[in-house]
Amino acid sequence: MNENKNTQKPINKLSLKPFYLRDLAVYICTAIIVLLLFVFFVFPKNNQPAKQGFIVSVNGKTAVTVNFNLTTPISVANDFNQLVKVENVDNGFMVTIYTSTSKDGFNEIYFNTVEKTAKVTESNCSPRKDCVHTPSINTVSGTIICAPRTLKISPVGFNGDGTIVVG
Amino acid sequence: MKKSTVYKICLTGLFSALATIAFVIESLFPPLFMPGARIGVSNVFILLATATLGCASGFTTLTVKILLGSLFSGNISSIMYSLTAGLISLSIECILMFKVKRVSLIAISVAGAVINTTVQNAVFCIISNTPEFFVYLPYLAVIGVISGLTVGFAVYLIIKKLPKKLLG
Repeated sequence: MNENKNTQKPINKLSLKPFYLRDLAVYICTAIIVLLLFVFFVFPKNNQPAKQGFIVSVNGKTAVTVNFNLTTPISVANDFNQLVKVENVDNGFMVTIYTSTSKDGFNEIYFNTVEKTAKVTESNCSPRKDCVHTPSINTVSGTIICAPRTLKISPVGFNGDGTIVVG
Repeated sequence: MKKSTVYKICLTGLFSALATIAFVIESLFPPLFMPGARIGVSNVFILLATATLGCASGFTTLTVKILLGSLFSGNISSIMYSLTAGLISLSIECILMFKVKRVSLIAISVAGAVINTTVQNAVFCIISNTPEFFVYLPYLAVIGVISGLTVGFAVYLIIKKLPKKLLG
């Protein structure tokens, strides 16, 4: 009979405790990691100046641009004329982006011109609907992504001639 | 009484099935507070397999859960970042459990959950070329702490209640 050379002994129930002194080291390391993440990814973003609008891209191509400085903020790219529907609603616009002309798949995005925010209100992308459950974003920071539809909504700045600021 | 290999294989299969079922059911529910955030009920069975049967069983349960769970839930693209994050976090949990020792299951679960959440979303940002999503990482890490505490406490209670003969 082969000897069991496994040195990973299962946990002895009798010595199992909910807390050991070494747990403090683990919790402190975890707190440091969380703090570093906030320092690197959240605080610098919150100090950035607000941009002028949003860009909605599908599969890397710009589909819709939203410039709150203009009288008509919503602008649809030529390639997406058949796939985008824009409706006026209270305090903003409802933009529906379809995946094809048969209009099977869609993402409904609400742009609030008063608060200058964007939010995906409805979609049939997947059962989880991560994009619908993403909190609304403003023109300072944040991104909404719909991975199954390769759709991305992010804040952007605009030059005086209406072109998007790169970088 | 030492556990036989057959017994270990059977129990690993059981934990794998339970983890897969929990993963698929959880994927049907909306995320917690923000995309990518979950309690991670399936991690209860992975941690349980690791604590009672060893690292090999834990890794087997993890791999089966991710492969089959992604297949059944229709989210095959998530295999890449789920597997990467899962393997890294379980490795750290195994080091804490069997090398460092005298670290509670709850602390091990918290460490694993934070590492898992952070790595998973970082890899997703890199693969999908969406660096803007990094801003959600800290909040997901905080949710990872909460889920780690929940899972760790659940595993601690389960092991406390398990019959002694199951622990060898």
